[in-house]
Order: sequence, then C-alpha cells, then structure tokens
Amino acid sequence: MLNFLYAWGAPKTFYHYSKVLSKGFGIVSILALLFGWVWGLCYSPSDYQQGDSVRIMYIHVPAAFLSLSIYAFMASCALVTLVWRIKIAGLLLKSAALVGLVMTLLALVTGSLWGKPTWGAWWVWDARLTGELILLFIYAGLLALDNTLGENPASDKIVAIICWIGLLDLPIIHYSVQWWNTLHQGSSLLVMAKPKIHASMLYPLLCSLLGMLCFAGWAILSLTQVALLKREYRQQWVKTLEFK
Amino acid sequence: MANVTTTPWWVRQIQCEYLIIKRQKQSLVQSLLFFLMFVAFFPLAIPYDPAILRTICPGVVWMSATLAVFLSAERFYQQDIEHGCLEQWLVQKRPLTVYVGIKLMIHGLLHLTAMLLMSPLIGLMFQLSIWEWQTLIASLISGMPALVAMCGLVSAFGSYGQGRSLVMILILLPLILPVIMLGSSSIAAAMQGLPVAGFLAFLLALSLVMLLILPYATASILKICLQQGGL
Repeated sequence: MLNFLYAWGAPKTFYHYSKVLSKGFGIVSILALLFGWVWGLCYSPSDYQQGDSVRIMYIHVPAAFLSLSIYAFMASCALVTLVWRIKIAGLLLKSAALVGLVMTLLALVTGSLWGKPTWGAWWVWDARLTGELILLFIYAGLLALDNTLGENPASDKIVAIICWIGLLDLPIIHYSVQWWNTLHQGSSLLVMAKPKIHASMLYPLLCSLLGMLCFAGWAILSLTQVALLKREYRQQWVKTLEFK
Repeated sequence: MANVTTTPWWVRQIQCEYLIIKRQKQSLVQSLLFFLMFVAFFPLAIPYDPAILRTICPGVVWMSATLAVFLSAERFYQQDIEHGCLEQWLVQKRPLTVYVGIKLMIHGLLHLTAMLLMSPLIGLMFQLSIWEWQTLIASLISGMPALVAMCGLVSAFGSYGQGRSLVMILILLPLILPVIMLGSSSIAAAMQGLPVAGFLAFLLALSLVMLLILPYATASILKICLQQGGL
C-alpha cells in the first residue's frame, strides 16, 4: 500500500497513474456538470424573492467553493514540497494556482452579475467580496512569481513558501460572513448542521459542486502532466511515450 | 568599537547594522523623503476640499508608509550577499533567522523614528486633531513590525539585484493588505469618534505573528538563494 503511495512521487509512475485518474475525473465532471446544471438551470424552482436570477448560484457557489479549496490544496502541496521535498507536489502547486485563479475570477464575475439584479450594485466593498479579490491578487502574484523564477530549480520551494504565507486570507474569507455584518449572505451549507436550503435546490447545487471539483481535478492533473513532460523531456520514459 | 571576545555575536551584528545605516544613509533618507513627498502631493493633486482630505488621509498615509518601507527594503540583503557576509554567516552555523530579525529590527526602528518625526507635518497637512494624530502614531508603531517583516520577505527574492521590483510588490501588496486596512481603519475610526483600541490590538497581533513567522521564511528563501548561487 505504501509503495503505491510512494509511486505517486516518482515522475514516471505519477504520469501514468494520473492519466487514469484524470480520465476518471473528466468523465465524472462532464456527467455531474451536465446533470447538475441542466437540473439547476431548467428544472429547479426559482426563488421567491430573487426570481430566476438565483440560478446563477449553481455556477457561482461551486466556483467560489473551489477558489478556496484549491488554495487549501495548494497549501498542502506546499507543505509536501517543503517538508518532504517531493518535486511533483511543486508542479501540482503551480498548476493548481492557474486553475484557482480562473475559479476565483469566475466567482467574482458571476457574483457581480448576480449582485446587479439582487443588490442593485455590480460591486460592494463588503468583507467577503474584498477577501475574494485579495485571493485573486494572491493567485496572480504567485503565478507572476512562478513566471519570473522560470526554470530555476528553487522556484518550487519559493512559491511554496509564499503560498503558505497567503494562507492567512483563507479563514478571513470563510468566516467573513460570521465576523462582520456583510451584504453577502451567510453560509447555507454547513458541515455540522442541516443545510439551510431546500432539497430541490440543494441536490443540483451539490451535483454542480461535485462536477466542478472533478473538473478542477482533471484540469490540475492535465496541467501537471504537461509540466512534468516539459521538465523531464530528456528522460527515456518520455522519449518512448506514445500519444494516442 | 565592540570587543570581539566579550560582546556576543548578535550584539556586534546589531552594532554593525546600525553602523552600516549611519554610514550609508541614502536608502533610509530617500525612502523617508519619498514618504513625505508622496503624502504631501495628495493635497496638491486633489481639488482642494478639506472634507475629502480628511477622509482619504488614513489610506494615503498608510499606502505611502508601505511603499516607503518597501522601496528601502528592496536592497536589504544585496550588499551582504555581494560581499560574502551571508555565506560566512552560514559557514559559522549562525542562525540566519537571527540575521534577518536583527536587520528588520534596526531598519524598522529607524524608519519608525523618522516617520514619527514627520507625523506632525502630516497632521498639519491633513488638519488632524490631536487625538487623530495620536492614533496615527499608535497605528504606525503597531503596524511597523508587520510592514518591515513582509518587505524583508519579498526583498529576499531580488537579493541578487536583478530588477525584480515589480514581482516583489505584486506579492507584497495582497499579503500586507490586512495591515494597511487595519492601520487606516484605526485612524478613520478615530476621526469618527469610535473606539480605536480594537483595531490597534488586532494590528499588534498581526505584527507579532508576522515577526514570529516571517524571519524564518525569509531565512529559508535566502538560504535557497545562496545555495543556488542566484535566483
């Protein structure tokens, strides 16, 4: 069992295992997204206050959830890179930064599109929105740093260190709706209690969430595979690869 | 001068850092002049309205303070790396964290002193009351450790002097934002007559946390820099 886990740290076995895993993620994500979005956008009930504009929730909430959880994933990759010196974790970190940036951008844009009909404003400077904007800048800064450091072998460690320091923003965003009196609504999906939204909206939301998670998994693994090939292009196993 | 056999190495390092700044005042003086000028130009650049000036004062002062500390921190480690002092430090197995900590302490104290000396001028420019001016001083004191620690961290990337300023500031700004927001909110709260102790306490807490963690992170980056022979 342990050997199986260690194999994930070696470039060649990681490449082949992750091919299988990313294919699985891809299939699940397409099915879950199709199912969740068609259900949510067409067949779920509209809100009594917001009308049909509530349907953007099925895109906004998964994207926002992912922007935070991808950063948490990056932090754990950073830990693995710094403590156990596993290079693959460094590659995963950088791929995740790109996917996380896109998710944060999506969350901000869909949020602002949702905010216009419901709050009357494209943007307000409340705690959660500001925190998410800061997260966007942190992602952008990490990517810029990675770009500048380029092929330097120490770039993995440095991006990992900076990723950990930016982790402070995460609890601020997550708890912002509890700590401050914000315009953004509070949490409807809680780990330790019953969800606050009805089942007819909950299930399509969970489905879209699963779909987005698997999409992120597929995207991160695919980007990592490309980065791995770029880094290991001189190895024998890369030269003998067949691309179907 | 310090007796090499009796004074501890870290005391000698403190004296050394202070001497370096005393003999090479340029970076400190220039960054403080930048602080003063940047703050002063806002009342000049914006159409004259005392109400607007008072509203923007906290934000302007804090952003200028951040930029001033960053600009002087850009060349923190450059000289020591070029002269080989850092490598000697590592060879003697001295903790690099202490080196970073001493540097931050000396630069932070000197910056703080000079900024506090300039604060009456800022109070005059923006027409602050005595209480608001006192809050400005308290917020600068509480937030300076965090500012200097974070600027020390991001300047570790550019330690080989290769024009990395833009990336440095791109990373610095999102991470230092809580400090800037708390600092300016404390002054804004003072302007509205609200209690400021909460903001200052939070600012002090952030400073303490950053002082604990960031020198260690900076030392790691510097070590990577030295092992690589450049970034």
